[in-house]
Amino acid sequence: METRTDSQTRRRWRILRSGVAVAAAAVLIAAGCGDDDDTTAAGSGDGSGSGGGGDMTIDIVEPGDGAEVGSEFEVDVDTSVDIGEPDTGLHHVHLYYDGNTAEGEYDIVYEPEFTVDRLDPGEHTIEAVIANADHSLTDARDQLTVTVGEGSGGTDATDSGSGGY
Amino acid sequence: MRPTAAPAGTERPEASDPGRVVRNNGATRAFHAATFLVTSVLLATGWWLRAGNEGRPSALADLFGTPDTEVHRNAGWVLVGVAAAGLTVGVRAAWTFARETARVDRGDGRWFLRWPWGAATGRFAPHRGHFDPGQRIANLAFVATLGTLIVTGVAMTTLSGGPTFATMVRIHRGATYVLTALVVGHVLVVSGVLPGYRGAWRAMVTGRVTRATARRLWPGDAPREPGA
Repeated sequence: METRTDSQTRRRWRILRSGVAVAAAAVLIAAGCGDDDDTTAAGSGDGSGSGGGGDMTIDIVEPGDGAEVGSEFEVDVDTSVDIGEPDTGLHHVHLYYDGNTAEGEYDIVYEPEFTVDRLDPGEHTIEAVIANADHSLTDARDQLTVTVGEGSGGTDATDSGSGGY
Repeated sequence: MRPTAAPAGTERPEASDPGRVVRNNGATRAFHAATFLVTSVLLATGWWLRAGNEGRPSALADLFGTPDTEVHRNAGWVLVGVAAAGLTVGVRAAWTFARETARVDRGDGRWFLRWPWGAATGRFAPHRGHFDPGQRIANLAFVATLGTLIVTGVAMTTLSGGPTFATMVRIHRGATYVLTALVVGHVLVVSGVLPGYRGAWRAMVTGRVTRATARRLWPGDAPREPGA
């Protein structure tokens, strides 16, 4: 004979299971939105969280490859997609220096012009990579080498501002 | 009269120390510690990034040898795992938490009205729950904000970009602001700065509180004095 306690326990389990199912569904639905949205994300058409890049291109317009620059110098990038801060949902650009792409030291570019001031005098490589809004990287990239001198470059570029989640 | 079994999570006299009562068992404390740890990492890296420091590795990024964005993303998945474990392995405690958080009793309104006086003096109005009425509101707010952060976080890692991603970023940020305020309030309360909550921190650190603390904060759930 079923006791009242058994019935209550079963009811509680049912309610709790329903709650878990609703929560799981919410996560899955949120996760499932990705494919639709990414096709509109600045025209990337890249449904994956990383890699890809499709038809996206990026060129470092200034400075030229092998240029001598001051301690502060302007980098101009020309991207085939619009760029902006993460809360716009647009792509942006990461500037990596001297092949250091793993340690998290890079500059974020949300506008076509950016002032670099973190390099010591000497020869450096600059790699510009288009990143998705979630900071995962695409395959669209360009690289050049510059020689940083002692003096100021006298650039007039503005900072790209802050961002992040 | 036959004694009834205490529901999960309720206070019981501690056999080895009759002056204290068990408020939370080891599993509950482990869940709280895991949530605290991963949430701390998420808040630290999240605010670091929000302050415009992406590309400048934080101490956590240096520690893990990976960018702050990756630390944040991976910690988010750990939080998903912790939440899933709480709802599956800890289903019984989750039910107790939900039931005791959702309860409304006569006199709860009076508890809120007298809360400032109680926080300052320790003389709270009585209530009958495992959580006091303020804790119940805080529980709801924590669950809602953490749930929102999990759902929007998972969505962002999957979307990569686009209009919905942008909306998720804004919701994620808003929920972060609310969660930060909740965490600050929570830490303030358990720190004992408010006299009424002195000793409350032990409930989730050692799991045991004194009888006096239990009677002051959770009178309906506290054991009576021996011989009373």
